[in-house]
Amino acid sequence: MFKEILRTEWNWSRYAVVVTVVAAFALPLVAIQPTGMESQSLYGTTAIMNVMRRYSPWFGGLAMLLGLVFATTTWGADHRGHHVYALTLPVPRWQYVVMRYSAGLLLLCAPLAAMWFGCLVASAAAQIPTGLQAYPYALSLRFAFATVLAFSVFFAISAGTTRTAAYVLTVLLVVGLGQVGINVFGLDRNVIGWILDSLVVWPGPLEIFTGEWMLIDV
Amino acid sequence: MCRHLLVLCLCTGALGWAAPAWAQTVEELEARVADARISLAVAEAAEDSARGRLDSTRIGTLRLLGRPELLSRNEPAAERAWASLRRALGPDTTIVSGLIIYLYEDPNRSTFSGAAGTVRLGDSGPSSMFPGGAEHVQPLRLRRTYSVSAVANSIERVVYDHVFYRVMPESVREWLDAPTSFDTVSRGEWTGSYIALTTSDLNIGHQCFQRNIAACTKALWLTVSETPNVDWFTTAEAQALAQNSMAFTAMQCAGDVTQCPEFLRTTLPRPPLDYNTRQRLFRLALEVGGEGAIHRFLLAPDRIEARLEAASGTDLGSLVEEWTTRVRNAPPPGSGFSTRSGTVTVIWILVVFGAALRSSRWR
Repeated sequence: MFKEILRTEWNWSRYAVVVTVVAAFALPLVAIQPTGMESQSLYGTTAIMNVMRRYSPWFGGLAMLLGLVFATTTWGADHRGHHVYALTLPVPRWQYVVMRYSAGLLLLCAPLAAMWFGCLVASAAAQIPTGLQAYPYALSLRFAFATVLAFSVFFAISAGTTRTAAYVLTVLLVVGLGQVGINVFGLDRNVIGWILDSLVVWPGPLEIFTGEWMLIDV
Repeated sequence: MCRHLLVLCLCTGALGWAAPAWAQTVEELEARVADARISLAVAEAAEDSARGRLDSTRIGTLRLLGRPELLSRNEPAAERAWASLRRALGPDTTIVSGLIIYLYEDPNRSTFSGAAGTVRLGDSGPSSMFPGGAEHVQPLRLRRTYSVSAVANSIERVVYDHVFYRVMPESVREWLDAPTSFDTVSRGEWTGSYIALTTSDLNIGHQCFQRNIAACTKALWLTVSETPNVDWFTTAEAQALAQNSMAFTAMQCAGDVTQCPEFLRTTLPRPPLDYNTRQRLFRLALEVGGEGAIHRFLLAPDRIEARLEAASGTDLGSLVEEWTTRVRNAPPPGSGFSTRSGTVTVIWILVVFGAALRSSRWR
């Protein structure tokens, strides 16, 4: 049954897989390209670091996008068919979810491998000044962790019902209104800031996305 | 609120009074505003004193002034600060005796009157108290939420900024470039120097990273030279520097390399490594030298290398070599990804996947 689920998911998402493979392979090469010229200049070290910093957000953004695209295509057909197909299968719900998740992860391996290969090629092609090093393995590993996390989050959201989505939106609305109320009463409490900090500062779930994504670093 | 308005008015008044006669630069204006703020705190102390609400205490040669309850609450912090200062100072602790630290919290007062009126702006600035051994009152604002270690650190910082840095000769102050603590350099700070060396724009920085002690000695500005820029910059680097300058000598240098030494001679010193890197060498010298290192540093002949040798008890070459070893032993983690980060991500993936498993097929 897993083979069938994998095959159908491939049919639904094969174009997305091809596009994301190209994007993941190209990003490190694009990021490294301007350094070819600037590393020849006198201040090559600083120039390379600045170029890496400029492209840093793209890696996190691509990881987030990959997670979103693969998670939504994984559940897309089920949503369109009002989950009738899932109901007809003689397996418990959790087993069905595990198969869908595994199939999605398996397809996700293609762009992750492309990113790893792209990082290796880019590192070999770059002229790295003394004192700096390339981190193709660390960067591609971080990219893989971030992508799988994003995929899992969007997968869980997509697996939920409309009622769950309504609950989540209600909670967000209550928090927003609560912050407005706190401000109206002149209390010095930033609830939204605290929530955002909790999300992006270790051990928050999105901590892996924060900071710089440097293929070439000290 | 009123107090904030008062501070604003005083600062504005100080600026208006000082600007035409004295202030030539933004730095001077800022210094005068800082003096005005200090004067305000001193005036508050005077008012407290006039109303009999002020007490003083002495821990070693460290003198504190403030309301009795504030002094008693912060006594453990002051003792901790004194113990740390005592370790750094060694036998001569009298250097601190000219300083009185006035501890205060935001008084939330609505008026500003009484003895405060006798204090004129600018009279009590820290520069007027040194040299000559006169007493200098330095205010230190505390908050009720400060921990013991935070208060101790603040007290130490006041002493470092307003005693040691001020009594040091001009040459040392120029070399340090800013007040520094005497604490042992942390790994994170060594990592900062590692990054400074490896990303240096000048070749001398990279040579220093490769354990070239002569290059390090130059890069750390330890050699006395009338034209330090000539020691630091190669001709090509000087030409690159000249590209960003409109000075006549710069344009000459950009067009003709033989003119670059003249350009470097006429340009203000541009050390290849920032002051933090030099301060870490200074703190390493204190660490290696142990007790009394500061005392020896101050008594040594007025050359920075002689002072560092005296403080550390070793020759300069060994000290710089130790410095490079410490720097090289503290590389940054690289690429911003750590095992800790990976572990937490795996845990969150499992949590989120667990939530997905609990979803219902019933819509």
